[in-house]
Amino acid sequence: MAALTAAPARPRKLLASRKTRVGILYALPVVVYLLVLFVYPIISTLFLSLKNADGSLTLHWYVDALTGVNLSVLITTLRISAETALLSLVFGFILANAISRLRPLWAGLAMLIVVVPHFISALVRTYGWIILLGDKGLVNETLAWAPGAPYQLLYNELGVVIGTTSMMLPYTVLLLYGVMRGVDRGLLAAAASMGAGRVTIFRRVYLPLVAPGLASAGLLSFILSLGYYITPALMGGPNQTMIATLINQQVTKENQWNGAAAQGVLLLLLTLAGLLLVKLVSSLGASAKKRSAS
Amino acid sequence: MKDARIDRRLFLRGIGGVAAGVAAATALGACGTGTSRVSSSGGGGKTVVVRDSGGSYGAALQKAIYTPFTQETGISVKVLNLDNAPLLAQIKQGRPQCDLINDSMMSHVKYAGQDALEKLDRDRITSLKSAKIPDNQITDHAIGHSFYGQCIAYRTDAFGGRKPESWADFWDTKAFQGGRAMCSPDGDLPELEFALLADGVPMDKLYPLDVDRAFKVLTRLRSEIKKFWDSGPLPGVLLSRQEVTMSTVWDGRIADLQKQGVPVARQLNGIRRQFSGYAIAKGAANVDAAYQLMDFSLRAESQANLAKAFPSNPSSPLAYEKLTEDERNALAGAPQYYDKGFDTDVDWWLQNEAAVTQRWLEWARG
Amino acid sequence: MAEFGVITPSVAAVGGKPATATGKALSVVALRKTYGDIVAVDEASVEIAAGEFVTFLGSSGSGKTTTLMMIAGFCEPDSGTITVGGRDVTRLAPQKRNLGFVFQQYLLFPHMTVHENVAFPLTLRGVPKGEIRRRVGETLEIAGLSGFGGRKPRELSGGQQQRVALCRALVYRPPVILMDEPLGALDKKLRDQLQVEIKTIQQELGLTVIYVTHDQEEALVMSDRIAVMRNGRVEQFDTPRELFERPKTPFVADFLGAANFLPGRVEQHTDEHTLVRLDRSGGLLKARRHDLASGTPVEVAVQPGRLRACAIDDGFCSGTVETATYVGTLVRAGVRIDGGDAPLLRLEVPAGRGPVAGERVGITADPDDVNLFAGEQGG
Repeated sequence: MAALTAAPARPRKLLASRKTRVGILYALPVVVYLLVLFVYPIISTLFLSLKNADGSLTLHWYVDALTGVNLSVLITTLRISAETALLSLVFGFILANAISRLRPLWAGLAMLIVVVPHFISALVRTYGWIILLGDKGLVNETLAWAPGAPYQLLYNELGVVIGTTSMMLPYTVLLLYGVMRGVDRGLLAAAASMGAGRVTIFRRVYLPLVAPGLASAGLLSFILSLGYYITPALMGGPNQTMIATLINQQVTKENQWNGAAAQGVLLLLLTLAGLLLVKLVSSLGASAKKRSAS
Repeated sequence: MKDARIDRRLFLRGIGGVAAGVAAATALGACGTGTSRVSSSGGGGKTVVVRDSGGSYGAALQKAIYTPFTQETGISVKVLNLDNAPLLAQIKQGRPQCDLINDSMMSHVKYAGQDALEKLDRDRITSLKSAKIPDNQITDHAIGHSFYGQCIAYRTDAFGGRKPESWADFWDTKAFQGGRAMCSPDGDLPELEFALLADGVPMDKLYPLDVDRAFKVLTRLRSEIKKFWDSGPLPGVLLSRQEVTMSTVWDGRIADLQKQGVPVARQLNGIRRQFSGYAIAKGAANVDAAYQLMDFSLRAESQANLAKAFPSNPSSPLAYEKLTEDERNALAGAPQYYDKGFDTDVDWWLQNEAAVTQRWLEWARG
Repeated sequence: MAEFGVITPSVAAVGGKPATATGKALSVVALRKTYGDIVAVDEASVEIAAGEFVTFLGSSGSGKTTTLMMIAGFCEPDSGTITVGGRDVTRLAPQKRNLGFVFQQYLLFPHMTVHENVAFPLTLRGVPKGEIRRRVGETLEIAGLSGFGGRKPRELSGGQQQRVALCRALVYRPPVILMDEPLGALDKKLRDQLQVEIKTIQQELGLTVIYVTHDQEEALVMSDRIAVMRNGRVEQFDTPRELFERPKTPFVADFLGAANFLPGRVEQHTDEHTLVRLDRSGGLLKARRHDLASGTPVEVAVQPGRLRACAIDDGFCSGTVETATYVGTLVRAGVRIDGGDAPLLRLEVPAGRGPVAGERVGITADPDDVNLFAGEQGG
C-alpha cells in the first residue's frame, strides 16, 4: 500500500496490477475447484499407487499391473476400446450423415432412437441383445439356413464390441451430427459446379470438413470405452475382461486400493496418451499439407 | 494403521474428483452411489439408516421389516445401497452414512478385522433367545439372519425327462447336453467347491479346498461354459432364452420364471450356503435405533414374513414353523433340505479369495 | 425431353443483338419452373454469344436466380431447354456441365489454402502438377492475389475471398461463368472497385459471363446486355443503352430509369413525331414516332435526366419547383405540375443551371427521349 501512495507517477502500472488482482479474484473459484477436486485427488491417487503396505515407496503395484494376467487385461482393454472407437465412428458417421439430411422433426426422432438405449438398464439391454443375437435369437433364427449357424455372436469379443458400440453411438452420432450440420452444403454445390463427382466431393471436401469431428468422436468413444466394464461383463466372456473390472474387483471385493490406484493411474496415462496421439496425428497432417502446398 | 486410514480417505476423495473429468474413474466412481446422509433427527421421530443390497431383496425388506418396524417403534428407516469399500472408508473416517449393516457374514468378518464394527451387546438383542438363533450365527460383531444358496438350475425340457441329480451331472455334458453358465468372481466366490464335488470329494471333506484339483476339473467343463454370469437375474435369462441348458444360480432367482411357466427347475443337491447378517457400524450415529431394528428383524415372525416376500432362508428355526408347508418347501433352508448342502468356510475364503480370483481370471482367459 | 421447334409467343424477349461470328455460347429456350402454384420462371428465353457479359436483372422473386440455378444444374426445369456450346445440358448433373460458378457467399473450401482452392478444379481434370502451379499462379496474378497462395480463406478479406472464388471459377476456362450476386456481401466502395476488376478480367480473357444482380447501376456498368426479369418472365433483353432509352415496357422504364410517368392520349402523328395531349395539364407533348392509333390512352415516360426546365410558356407543362437538392454535379428537383395533385415530377439537371425552390418553370423534353406506352398501366 505504501508503494501505491508513493508512486503516483506510474498510474498505468497501478491500473495494470489492479486489473491483475481482479483477474485473480475472478479466476480463484475455478482454480480452487480444480485444485481441490482434480489436482489433489489425482496426486493422492498417484501417491497411493506408489505406496507399500508399510508406507515406503515402491513400484511393485505397477509391476503387478503390467505383468501376467493384468497386462493381458490391459491389452484387451486397449484392443476393445480401439475396436469400439472404430466401429462407432463408422456407424456413427453413417447414421449422423443420414440424420443430418432429414428434416428437423425426423432428425430429432431419429436422434431419440439412437439415444434411448442409453437410459435402459444394462441388464434389460443385455436381455434385448440375447433376444437378438443369442443362439435362439432373431439373427441366428433368420440365418438358420446358412452354413455354420448358429453363429456365436455373444459372450465373446464380437458381443462386447456390439454392446459397447451401441453405447457409444449416441456420443459419436451427436458429435458428428453437430459437425455435419455445420458444414455449408453450398460448399458441396460449389465443388459440383467445378466438375467434382459425388465420390470426389465426399473425399476431398466433405470428409476433410468433418475430420475434426471424427477425430474427437473417435477419441471420446475410445476414452469412454477404456473405463467401461458393465457392458463387457454382461456381453463378453473372461477374455473380454476390462481393466475397470479389475479395479472394481480390487476395491470392492479385495479392499486392495494401492493396486487399484496403480491401474487407475495407468488408465489415466493411456487416456492422456490417446489425446496426445490424436493431437500429434492432426498436427502432422497439417504440417504435411503445408509442405505440399508450398 | 494410521497411514492406511489416511490413504483410504485420500483415495475416496480422489474418486469424486477424478470422476469429474477422467475416464479412469468411471470404474472407481461407480463404487459410490449413496443416499445423502440422514442426520439423527432432532424434533420429531428418530431415524435409523440401514445398508442393504437393494433390488427385489430391498423391496421385500421394506415391506416385511422396515415398514412394520416403523409402525411399531415410530423410528423411521432410511435405506442406503453402498458397496463395501466406500462404506468401510466412511467408517474409517469416523462418519459412516449408515448405522446398521446388512451384508454377508464374510464381509462382516472383514469389517471386524478392520475394526469397523461395534462390538455387540447381546443383552440388547432379546430375539437372539426368543428366535433361537443358532450359536454358530452369533459372533462378537455380527448376527446371522439368513443364508442364501448357490445351486443347479436347469431346463426341464432339455434332457428328455431326466433330471440332473448332482454336480457330477452338471459336468456330464454327454448325458446332459447343452451349454452351461457359471458364476464369475464379479458375481460371487468362484465355484471351486462344485468342481470338487463333481470330482467325487465328499461334502464334509471339501475344506481346505484343493485349488489345483478344482481348476483341473473346471478345465474339463471350460469349453461348454458359454457365459460367466455376474448378476442374479442373468442365469434365469440365459435359461429362458435357451442359451444354456444348465447354470449355477442363486437359489430363489428362478421362482418367478417357474411361476411364468418357463420349464426350469432347481436341484438342491450340493447347494453352497453363505450367511448374511447384521452388524452395527463403528461410530454409528443411531446405535440405539440400530439395536432396535436388528432385534426386530431377527424375531422369528419377522424372518418368516421376509421369507414370504423373498426367498431368503431364515436363521431362526422357529421362523420355518410360522410358514405354510408350501412356503417352507420352497425354501432351501427348510429342515428337510439341510443335509443336501454345505456351509461356505468363510475363514478359508477370506485367506484365499484374492489369490483364487486372480487364478480364476488366468484360467478363464486361458 | 426438350421440345425443340416449339416457338413460344414470348420470344419477343429474345435479345436484339444477334449471335456473333464466334457463335452461341449458351441458349435458354422457354425455360419454366414452378413450385406448387407459384411460377418461379415462366417461359424464359435468352441467347448469349461467346465473350458476352450478360446480366439477369430483377428484384427478389423475379426468377433471375432460379434461372441461373437451372443453367448451373442445381435445380431442374419443368420444361424448356438449356444448351451450352451446342450441347443440350438440360438434364445433366451440375458437375457434368463444365460451367464456372461464383457464389454470393464465396464458398471457398475452408480447409484448403488459396492455392489449393484455385487448383481444385484443375486437379479434377487431371492437369499435370507443373501446369496446375503455373495456371494457378497466373490466375492469382490476374486477380492481384500473388503471394496469397499459402493463406487460408479465413485469413482474407471479403473482397479477396471473392477474387479467389472468381479465380477458382475461371482457372479451368469454362465456356460460361455464372455469377450469383457475387458482390452482394461487400460494401459499396469495394463493390464499385470489383465491378471494374471483374469487367476488366472478363474483357481481357474474353470470358462469357452470366451475372445475376438486383442492382441496376451494377448491371448498367458491367453488362453487354441485360435481361430485365419480372415475375419469372424476361421483360426485355437488350443493351443497357437500348433498355435505358427505348424501354419496351413501363416496368423497364421505371426499373432502370426511374422514369416520370404522365397519363395522356395520342392526338395526332407527324412524319417523325407522335403528339400526345396530357390529361392533367392539357399541354401538348411531342414524342418520337410511335405506332399508336389516335385517341389511344398512353403513359408518357421520360427519365428525370432527360427533362429540362425552360421558360414557363415553352414547355409541354408548367409548375412550381418544390424541392431542389444539390447532389454533386447534379441538382435533383421536384416540380409540382399545375392542374392536379399528380406526383412531383422529378428532374435531374446539371448543377449551376438548376432551378431554385419556389421558381415557376416550364418543362420540356427532346422528342427522342420520350417513350409512350399504350394503356392505363405504368408506375
